[in-house]
Amino acid sequence: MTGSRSRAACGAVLAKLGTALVLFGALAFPATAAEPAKSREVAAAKAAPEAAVSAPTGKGLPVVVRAAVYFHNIESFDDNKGVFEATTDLRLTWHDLRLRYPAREALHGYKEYRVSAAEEMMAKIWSPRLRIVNKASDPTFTERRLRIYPDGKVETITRSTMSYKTPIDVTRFPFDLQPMLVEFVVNEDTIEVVDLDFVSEDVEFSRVARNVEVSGWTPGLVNLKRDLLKGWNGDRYARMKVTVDMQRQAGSTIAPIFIPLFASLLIPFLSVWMNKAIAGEFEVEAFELANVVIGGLFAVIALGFTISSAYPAIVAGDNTVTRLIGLNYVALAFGAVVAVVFYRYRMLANAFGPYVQEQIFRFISWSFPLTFVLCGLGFVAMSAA
Amino acid sequence: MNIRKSAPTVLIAAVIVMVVIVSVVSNYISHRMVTAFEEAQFSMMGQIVQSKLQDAEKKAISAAELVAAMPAVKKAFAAGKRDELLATTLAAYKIQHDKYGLSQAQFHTAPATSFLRVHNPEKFGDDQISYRKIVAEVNESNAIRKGVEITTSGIGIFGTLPMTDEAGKPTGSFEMGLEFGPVLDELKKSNGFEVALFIDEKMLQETATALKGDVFNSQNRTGRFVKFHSTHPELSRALVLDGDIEVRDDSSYIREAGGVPYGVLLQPVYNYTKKQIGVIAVVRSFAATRSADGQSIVWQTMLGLISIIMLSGMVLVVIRGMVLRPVEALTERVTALANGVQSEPMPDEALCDELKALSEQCEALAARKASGKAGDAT
Repeated sequence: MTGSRSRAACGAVLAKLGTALVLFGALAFPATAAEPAKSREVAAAKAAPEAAVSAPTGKGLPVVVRAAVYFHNIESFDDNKGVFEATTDLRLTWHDLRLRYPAREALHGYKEYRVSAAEEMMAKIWSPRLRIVNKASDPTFTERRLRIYPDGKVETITRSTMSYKTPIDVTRFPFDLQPMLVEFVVNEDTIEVVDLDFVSEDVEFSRVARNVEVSGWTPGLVNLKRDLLKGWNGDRYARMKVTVDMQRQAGSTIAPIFIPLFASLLIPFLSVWMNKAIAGEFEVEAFELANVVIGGLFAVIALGFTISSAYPAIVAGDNTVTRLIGLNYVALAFGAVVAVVFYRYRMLANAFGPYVQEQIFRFISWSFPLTFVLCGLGFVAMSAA
Repeated sequence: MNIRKSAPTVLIAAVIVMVVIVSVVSNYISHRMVTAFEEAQFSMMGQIVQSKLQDAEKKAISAAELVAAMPAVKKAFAAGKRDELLATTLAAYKIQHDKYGLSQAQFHTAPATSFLRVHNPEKFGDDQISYRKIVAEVNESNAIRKGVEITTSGIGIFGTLPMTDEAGKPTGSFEMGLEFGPVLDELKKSNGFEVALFIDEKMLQETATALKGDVFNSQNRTGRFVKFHSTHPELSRALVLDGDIEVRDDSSYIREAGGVPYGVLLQPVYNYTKKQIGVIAVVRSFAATRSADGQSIVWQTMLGLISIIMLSGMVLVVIRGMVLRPVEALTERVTALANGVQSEPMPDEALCDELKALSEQCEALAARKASGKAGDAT
């Protein structure tokens, strides 16, 4: 008897807890642009008649939803992982003529609902179901404000802090410009029903707050772009891409990346500089200078590992850094060839005579470093071009 | 003459001159190709903008003709029944406004007196002859006209046509107009251009009296123009400066903003009477072409320098290694022989075939001299 009562009490507590969790969920993550709108739809179905939440056709179809994004803060930008965290204000504007009301009812020219009141109201009206395509995690913070104007214009601003995945192209590293992307798509409703759009007013709204600072990066202009997402059987869904141009501060990469890469380039040069040719004879033995090259090889391998662990995105593709690492290996290979061909087997002296070898050695003692340093600088200049 | 220095100097100088000429010409050709492509881009941008403006004019005139052809409209206008005219046209105007971006619809009586603004029915009766030349000309010539004009509320693209009663007698004119802003926004969506419209501030202030003050502020001011509309205000502020805006003909340039090079095309905007009232700036990213051009210059410079180094090396090795150094060694040997100093003969592999023969003759002379001395001694 006691057991069954305690089980019943337990069940009641669990049921209450479940209800509380559902309510909390509905209030804390209330059908944001980032979330599937399932919970909101359920709430809307309960709270409002069917007609009130159907798409507003008063101005014909598709319902044009204007979108704009203001970057309130950029908490972090990790170009290695291709992830950034930002606090954004996503503004959506559309017209629902069913919500028109006499202008005298609006004290400030509109009716405003904030946070929980906004969620309550949002559950009763139609709103576009948007999905953030490139979100890396659920929002850690979400807050919404709703304004309804007398002419039926509806404006929502959703402030949320969230991580996003963004494509990284380091081909022009360290002079690269990375797009910090927020991409959203209309869920369920095809382009014939809901379309995303923007006008100059939205472009003006879409910018990065002036006081935002991101270590190693300079935030630039915000760009809006409309796009389409293809679905099944010719369905197309409205999509919008909002990007912030993030300019890398190239100066910050000189000390950790470029100085070691150019310094390691000096090692194979030593295999030439440390020897002296007199009529086809060399002062230093081949193995001593080959050791310098082998030491350089280990140094470049270690440097490659260090860079790949600290900057995995950079070593993944073709860019200045990978080209410089490649140049280091080529220089080491050339140093090894010099040790074998000149010092060990005197191949050129045997083939063309000691004076030819002497002159070739003199030539490579300045042209070898000059050519490789020139190539290195050329690679850097190419990424800046 | 010192061949050791002068011969390599002449040859290396020739190599440098040739490589520099080839590199400069090659750079020039590739730069010309990029520039030609960019010029074609500017030309295409200009054509697209003009085509869009012409489409807007056609859109305005076709919508106006549709409304003006309605018998009820003709009848009400001919009878001077303003309320009836409004009731007949308002629904059609609202559809045109909401769905197709037409923002103005107005009836005029000759010469250019507003009879009914469908978009603003409370205001009528004002004489617009001073600034609505298109209306005055339509009422005078009874022919369709279209074009750009500054009005009290800003700047619009109009299609204006003469109205007649059922008997064909002229009664006035009707026009529909589009605002410039939505046309430019559409241009951005369809072509990816950023567009800004700058209007002569003095002209705008004189005519557009109903315009809100936010247009006439220092942020919008560029030279004697004010930015009336822009699809990307921040970008146009960075790209179009006071010194650029005074254009009488199409003008283009490339300027960087936020680390991105943009191609900017400035086109003068004329009103219906062919008087310049402003400038339209069309902007497109030229990052791809500029980057290709820059990379091409770097590649060609690098290849040129490496070619100079390699060819100079070959000159030095051939002249010094194959000729001068062996000659120096041979000279030392001959000098030693002449001085009667006995030394080791030169190794065969150190000399080329031609010098080897000379060396052998020297050795033979030395041997004969040595044997002669030995004979004298005996």
